[in-house]
Amino acid sequence: MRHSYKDVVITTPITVPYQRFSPHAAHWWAGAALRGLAQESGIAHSEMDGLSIASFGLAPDSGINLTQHFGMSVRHLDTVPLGGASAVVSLRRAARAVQAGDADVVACIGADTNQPDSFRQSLASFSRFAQDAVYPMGAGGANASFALLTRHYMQKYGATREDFARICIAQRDNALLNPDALMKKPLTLEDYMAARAVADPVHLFDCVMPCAGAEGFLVMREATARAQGIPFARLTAAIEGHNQFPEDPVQIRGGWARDVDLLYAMAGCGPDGIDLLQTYDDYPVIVMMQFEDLGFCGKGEAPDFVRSRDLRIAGDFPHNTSGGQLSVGQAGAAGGHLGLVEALRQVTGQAGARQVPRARRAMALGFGMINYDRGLASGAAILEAA
Amino acid sequence: MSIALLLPPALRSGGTLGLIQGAAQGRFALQCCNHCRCFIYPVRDICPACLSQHLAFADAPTGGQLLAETTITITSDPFFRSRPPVRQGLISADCGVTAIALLHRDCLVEGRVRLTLKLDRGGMPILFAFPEFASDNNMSDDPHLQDLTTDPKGRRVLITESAHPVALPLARALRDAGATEILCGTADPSAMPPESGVTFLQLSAADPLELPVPEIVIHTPFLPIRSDGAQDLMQNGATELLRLARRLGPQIQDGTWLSLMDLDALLPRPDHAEHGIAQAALRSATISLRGQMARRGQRVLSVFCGALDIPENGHLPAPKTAPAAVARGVIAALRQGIEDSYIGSDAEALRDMLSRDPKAAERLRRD
Repeated sequence: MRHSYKDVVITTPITVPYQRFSPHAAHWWAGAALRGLAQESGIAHSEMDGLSIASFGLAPDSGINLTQHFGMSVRHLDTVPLGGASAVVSLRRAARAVQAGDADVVACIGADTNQPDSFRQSLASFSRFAQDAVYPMGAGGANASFALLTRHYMQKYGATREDFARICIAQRDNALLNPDALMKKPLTLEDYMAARAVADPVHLFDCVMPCAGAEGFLVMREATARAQGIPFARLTAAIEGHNQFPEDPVQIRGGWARDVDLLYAMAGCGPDGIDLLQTYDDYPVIVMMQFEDLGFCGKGEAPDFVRSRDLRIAGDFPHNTSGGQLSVGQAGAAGGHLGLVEALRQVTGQAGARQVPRARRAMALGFGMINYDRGLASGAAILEAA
Repeated sequence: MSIALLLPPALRSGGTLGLIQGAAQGRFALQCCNHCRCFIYPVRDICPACLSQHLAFADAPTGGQLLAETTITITSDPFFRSRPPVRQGLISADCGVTAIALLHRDCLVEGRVRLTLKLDRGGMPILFAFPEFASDNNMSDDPHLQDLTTDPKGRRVLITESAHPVALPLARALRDAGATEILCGTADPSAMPPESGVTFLQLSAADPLELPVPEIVIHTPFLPIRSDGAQDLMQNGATELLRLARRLGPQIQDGTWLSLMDLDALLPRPDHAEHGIAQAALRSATISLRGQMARRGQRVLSVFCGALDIPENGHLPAPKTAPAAVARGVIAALRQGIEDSYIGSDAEALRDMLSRDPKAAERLRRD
């Protein structure tokens, strides 16, 4: 059994509203999140002694450059280059630093901008393997990589496009209650099925929209949060895993599957103790894998699961209550923070019109970094109302 | 004037450039660990199985199992946007690696495939998978294969010099392969016996711009071995290639150039220095042209042939290669997109020795 995160809390959910395109640098978006964290917590950024930053767009800078850029003097500094898994990893590392007394208040931020053509450039040089051995084979980017995983999953487990549609449509319903979501119109099954193919079987509404935006939260000791008088949640369990199950010929599971029992043991509950779930939803197939790998259903059973459950805010399985990346947008590395920040909002009762009644325990998941033929980074965290 | 300026994604790591050597020869040579002998792909700096850094490139089994496939209809890359949708597959290769490859349109869902390494229009290596068994005679019609190869079928071809012993057998082979029009340069067109499907013309006197624009230019300079004037030989070989390229290159869209060379282009023989100089100059011009043309998306192929089985070579010992066999090799190079072809057993032997031990090859190279 791992050490608990006793006395460590997570506070101050911040979303800098997304924009489809932005003329600003990623630094601008990260800075906006930092300002939000300071305003909402009442802790001046100059008083925060930890910074954890995830962004694809800071080059040639990293976290160290941001300390001077932002006027911060910190004891804990982390640049987390793990894409969609960054938020959970930032949280884990910040929590241990705070718990050990290496830092008192850590600002965790995911931020990216989206300028015309910056997305294509990031696809072409996303990783060395992608540059050498994926992009030249048709330049499909992540859409093509997930198309291959989706096709294989459909062949192996009998999932249909209609099953994926259930996830996307429920999230769009949730997004209609989120003023920050870029998608504003309801999505019907007819719309979903009639959408143009991007890389079959992946069609338009299976894909996230690249955009600019930022997300942030603070990690501190419970006493600090109480002194500030700000709502907080406890971190009860967290896992991460990278390049797990390399022996699987095609990815059918993420790294969660390896340590899922440890996760629930730390949290003192099982899947039925989770009041709401925030999966990493860059494509619906990976949502299905998370339902399975985190034990909400068995491997290969997610198609049946989504047919029998209501994934909306008011449904019997509240899922991606913000609308998720599929309906809010994917602001680069902020995308992996969206679910965690929303989970924090929900268990601290700050979700407004999207509030899930009696939401005491939430799970947030991260998944990132398609390096060649599969996503390498996975993370999971369980937050509990104080 | 239209020029193919769009090029496929060209960025590759230094290590991945090692795939070009095999691809240029039409071989499926992947990185291989010298220590534990496992094949490695994508190219790495260290063996993931044993952490050895003694890695080389070696011919790998070409079979594979298609696990999943997609057709990419939306891409942000300008080159692929200008092409029909690409079919891409995830393949469990028999050599142990997982390959992401372009798929021939005839590859069957979850079927067996044959993997190849090809060079794209910019000269960079990519993986292309064929169905394990050829399905019909129209395999070359695949739109993405056409970006990697130049099947003579339906194309206009220019052969620059009919005096080369291979030129006429080559014209016939091109005609049999479905070339629609074959132009052939010659000193005196009226002296040439008629050849079905072949138009003889006096290329050296003509402005190439007055010709119908060819899609394939095959440079076949006749460079006699016993000659005293390296200058003339170089004029007919290297200089003429560059002249044609400067005049015709901008006119040709999606074209292919091919230089037919002797083994002296690779390594000269002691007593035929002038011939060696001319052949080496032609090889040099061909390599320069390859770099120039890659910027236009045109490919430049080299065919090195061994001693030809012709009366003038009666004094030479075996092995010798029939001109018709060289012609078949040229057709294969075009159809498969092979950048460097070696035709004849002596050519293959010299290729292998030059890669293994170039100084020994120099000592053994005799007239």
